[in-house]
Amino acid sequence: MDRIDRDKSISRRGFAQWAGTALAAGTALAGSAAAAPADPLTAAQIVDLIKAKLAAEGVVWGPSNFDGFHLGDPNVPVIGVATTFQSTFQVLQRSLAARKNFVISHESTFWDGFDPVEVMMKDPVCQAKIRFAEQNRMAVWRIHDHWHRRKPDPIFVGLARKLGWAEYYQLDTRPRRYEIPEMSLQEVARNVQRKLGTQNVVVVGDRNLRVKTIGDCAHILSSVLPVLGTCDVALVGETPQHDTFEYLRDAMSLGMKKGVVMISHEGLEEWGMQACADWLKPLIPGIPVEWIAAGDPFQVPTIRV
Amino acid sequence: MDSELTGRTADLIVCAALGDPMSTARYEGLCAGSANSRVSGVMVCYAPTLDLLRRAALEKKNLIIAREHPYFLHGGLYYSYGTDGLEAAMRDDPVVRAKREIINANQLMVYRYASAWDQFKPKAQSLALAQALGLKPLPWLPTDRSRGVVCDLPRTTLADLAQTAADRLKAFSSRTVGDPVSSVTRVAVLAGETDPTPALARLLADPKIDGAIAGAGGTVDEVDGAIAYFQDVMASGRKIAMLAIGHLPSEAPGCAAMAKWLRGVFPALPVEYWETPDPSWIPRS
Repeated sequence: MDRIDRDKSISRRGFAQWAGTALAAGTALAGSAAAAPADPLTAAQIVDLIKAKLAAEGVVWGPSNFDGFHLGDPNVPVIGVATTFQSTFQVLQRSLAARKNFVISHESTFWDGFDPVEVMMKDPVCQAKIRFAEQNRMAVWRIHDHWHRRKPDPIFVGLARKLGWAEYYQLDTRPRRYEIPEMSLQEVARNVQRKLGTQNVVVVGDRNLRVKTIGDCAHILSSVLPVLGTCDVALVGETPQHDTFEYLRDAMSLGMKKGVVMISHEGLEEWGMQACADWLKPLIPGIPVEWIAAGDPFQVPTIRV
Repeated sequence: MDSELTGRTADLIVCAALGDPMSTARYEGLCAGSANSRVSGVMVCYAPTLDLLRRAALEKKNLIIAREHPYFLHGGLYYSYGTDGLEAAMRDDPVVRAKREIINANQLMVYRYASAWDQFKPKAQSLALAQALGLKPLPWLPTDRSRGVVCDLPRTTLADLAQTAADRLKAFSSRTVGDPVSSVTRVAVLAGETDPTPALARLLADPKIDGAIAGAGGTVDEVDGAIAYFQDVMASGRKIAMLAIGHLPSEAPGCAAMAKWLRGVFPALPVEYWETPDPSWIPRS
């Protein structure tokens, strides 16, 4: 697929027209938006500032299938900015409650990487989400690829800090890895549970495996393989179980001393969007900026094993 | 003793029974081995693991019919972006090499009929999962070709259903989206993954559905879009929650059902279903 500039393709048409529905644009609910200061910045103007700052850091804005406006009017005056891992409906609701009408999201809004909202336009949840944003004069802009392109990648640096392993993190190795004080795989998993504040840590591997190196990786087996080639354990965000888990099972059957620790996509990446809020604050000093946690979607029920 | 049947003729027989002239789906049909080998026995499984391949070699079950691919190439509509890179990475992978050597040295043949089976009996996997959990699906229209089934059940909690999945399916890594103590009376059951999102949305269209039982969260369309959608369904005000019992435990009952069906396709051959344990675990206090 050819890459596109979503900001241009959407903002020029206007979101309401793009959505193709009868949803009324610009009809803010009473009391939902604060009285705007004189000549407040619009979402599109803030995006221009972000792009300029990124360019100054060496990340020149380019075409992306992901990054750009996904919901709402880019020209909406901004009373507050929320950064988040994912613009879920609940994140939008909490952003509004925190008086933040511009949401900067790392992941998609309409449940697919490319956010083809047209596919879901007849769905009542999709309609409700769009209506909520429109009626409350909210806009959602996604920054995925370009945020990952900063050096070092703030998403994975954010994870290292959250895990309390920043001092062990080897950013310059490929794949990136943690060189930790030796502990068992079970201890690694428990440590991750504690630091991320979730029980949702699914593991494949011998509980007593001695672990000294952990590589971080994304969500598919092809990104897990290089890590398993150089590290004891791969730390991965929500990955297909039918290939990654089965690969590790077979690797262990061959005698390879390896493990996989799977956390949620949110657990892997949302801390980098917490850092995004801090990065934004000096850029727009008159506008409140807050990180809104998406939160781990999974809980672990108690069962008798 | 080997039958007169070769892998190729067995494939043609299965495809004819499935109403499919041949398996043309990506990464399906013959995935490993020589189609000209004579069939010595049939084994059906979720995934042709290294351990199962070794056992198949020992027990002379050289026709292996699996839900998953021996070299981890799942394929799928949206997943090709990752699978393309994976196929290249797997060419010289030591695990794949070891499996290939066992397959070739023992004239094993691994056939995969995942999408062909799903097209033949769209609800087979979810129906088998529901029945394995002791649930009885509601009738569905003949025109309904979607994967999921819907079941009414006496009011219970997701945590209790997770215990049932642990007891009956050895699913010990269940997770919930929503509160584990959420009570449910009508559940959508969906073996495998929850995506693509539009299909999940359609399955949940009945407003009386207050729960979902699925396999894995969903990884086909951009990691976990269907889980984000499900969160949005909850945030829209609907009282609903999901239990995800793991991909393997959710698909295994359907694999056993396929083995049963294959016994009718090959009445002269012993067809066995071999279980594989879920390799995953969650640290518990």
